[in-house]
Amino acid sequence: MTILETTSPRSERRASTRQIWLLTVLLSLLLLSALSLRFGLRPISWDNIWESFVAYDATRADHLVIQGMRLPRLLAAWLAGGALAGSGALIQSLTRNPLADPGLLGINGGASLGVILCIFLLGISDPASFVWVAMGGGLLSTVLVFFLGGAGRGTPLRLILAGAALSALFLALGRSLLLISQRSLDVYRFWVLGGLDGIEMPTLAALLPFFALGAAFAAVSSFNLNAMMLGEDTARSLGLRVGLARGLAVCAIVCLCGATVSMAGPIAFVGLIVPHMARRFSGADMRWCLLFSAFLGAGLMILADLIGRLPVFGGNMQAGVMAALLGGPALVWLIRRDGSTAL
Amino acid sequence: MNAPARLHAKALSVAFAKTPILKDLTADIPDGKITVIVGPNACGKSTLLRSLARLQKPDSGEVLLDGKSIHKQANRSVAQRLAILPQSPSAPEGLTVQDLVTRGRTPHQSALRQWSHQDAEAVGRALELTGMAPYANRPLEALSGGQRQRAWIAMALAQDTEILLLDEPTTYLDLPHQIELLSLIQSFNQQSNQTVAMVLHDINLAARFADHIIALRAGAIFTKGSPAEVVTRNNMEQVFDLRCQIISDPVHGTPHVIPE
Repeated sequence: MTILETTSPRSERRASTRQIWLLTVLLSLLLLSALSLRFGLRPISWDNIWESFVAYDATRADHLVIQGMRLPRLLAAWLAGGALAGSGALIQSLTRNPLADPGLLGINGGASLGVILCIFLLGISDPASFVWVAMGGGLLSTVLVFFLGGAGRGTPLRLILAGAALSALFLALGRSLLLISQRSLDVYRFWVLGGLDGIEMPTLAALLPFFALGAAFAAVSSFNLNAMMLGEDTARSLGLRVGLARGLAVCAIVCLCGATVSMAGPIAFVGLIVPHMARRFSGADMRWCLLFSAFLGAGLMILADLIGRLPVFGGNMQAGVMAALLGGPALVWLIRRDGSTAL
Repeated sequence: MNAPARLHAKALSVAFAKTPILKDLTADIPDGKITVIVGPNACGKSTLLRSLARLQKPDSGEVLLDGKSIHKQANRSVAQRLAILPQSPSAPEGLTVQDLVTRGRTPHQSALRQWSHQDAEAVGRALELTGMAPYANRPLEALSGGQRQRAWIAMALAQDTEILLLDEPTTYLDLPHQIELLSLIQSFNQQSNQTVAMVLHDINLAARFADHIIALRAGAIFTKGSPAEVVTRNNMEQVFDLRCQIISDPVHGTPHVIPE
């Protein structure tokens, strides 16, 4: 028992710093959310924002902008950033590869090909109708990658290789279609940059079940991955059903990223870098890493979208592009500040 | 040995890419004893241990744990009774000793019920027994090889199982650290009557620490028994192709191999 007295204060102190950090991150997130409602091409006063929630008046332009544009955008940024960064944390841990990105499972490649085919063959150009095509393409290609990667029995390396191969194939197929069709390219290039323009409440509501399901799978997976990160043999020895755990994590990633890509296009980079930021606060515990990733990812997307909407950038910089512009230097700064520790 | 041992291999055959590794092997792991599996390289030692721990599925035959096929039991329930430390396991960067040892409690937890007083107690006990408590908050990569190995053993101890399997736990350790680690394992066995089975390369260390030795040759048991029964001049020549003299260890009285 003496040992408990000597070790527990230390580990408790560490746990409580983590909680304080999480609270700080959450508060910053709320602050950013408020700012995101207030600023844009033109600022809207706090009073008007408040009124648009409690006494909505469809004849007032400010209310329309808040409820019809900025609020859906904000929610989409929360969902997209949280989902991408959370699934990034999952895939990096699942494949034990710090450079893994959720797009590596072929979701983005499949979704892109689906959208291109849809434009090319059916001549559809309305972004709202891309949602289910992108979702279908993403789902299908992930299923393909998962089984080519050996299903529950393959190695993480095999999974990554299958994903990389199929992604490259889908990308090449898509590009060759775009080469022969200028019209498809015009429609596609807006979708592929990844942004939160024109997302409306009904779309969000339709995709919400996927986000919720993905979050539930992710929560269970974070517990499993804590054991999986010690290697497959150790995980099995600790009583885990490794194949099932791997399948569950892939389901979480598919739900989260599939819903995101169909909502906002393929947003790269957030899923790759935010988990590295999160790990600085969470340590090696996957449950904390997932929480921090989700909140930091949401924060980054909201900030990126907010800055991208400012008049300086013509009010129309895609959030996906801006997220990478902000996140890249931020990560470099974090690495340089810590000096000794690697990624 | 009247009652059957809790862990038993029955007519086990394993092949990799059609090369047979274990051939129709039957063995008991005696309860409450330290069993050491020895044999020349590529004789199937690790495969036997991994099969006993259900990490390797046999092509035919089965491993019985408490009288039932280990592959037909829920993995979690097996993990509450049997722990295995695989050969040179790896951990992600930044993982602390405390984190690692805590993972040993996984089979006693679930995604919904994650931490209990019992868990805290088992983790604290494992850290204390292995002398790793002062290093609890250090990341694994900041430890020496010997300390790191003790941290992994602490994880397996926190799992709180009656049976502990270790695959070459002394690899990469110098002689003093090998002795320290094996003495540690011996003390758990003596204090809590934990059944231990491990693979060791060094026949002299096996002779000193084992109650029971299983000598493998080409995927089959060549001989088994107490160190005095197994470590003989004739057996060493047959199992390892090693010509040697056997003397009695002047300190411990166990057989000691002097290669010629």
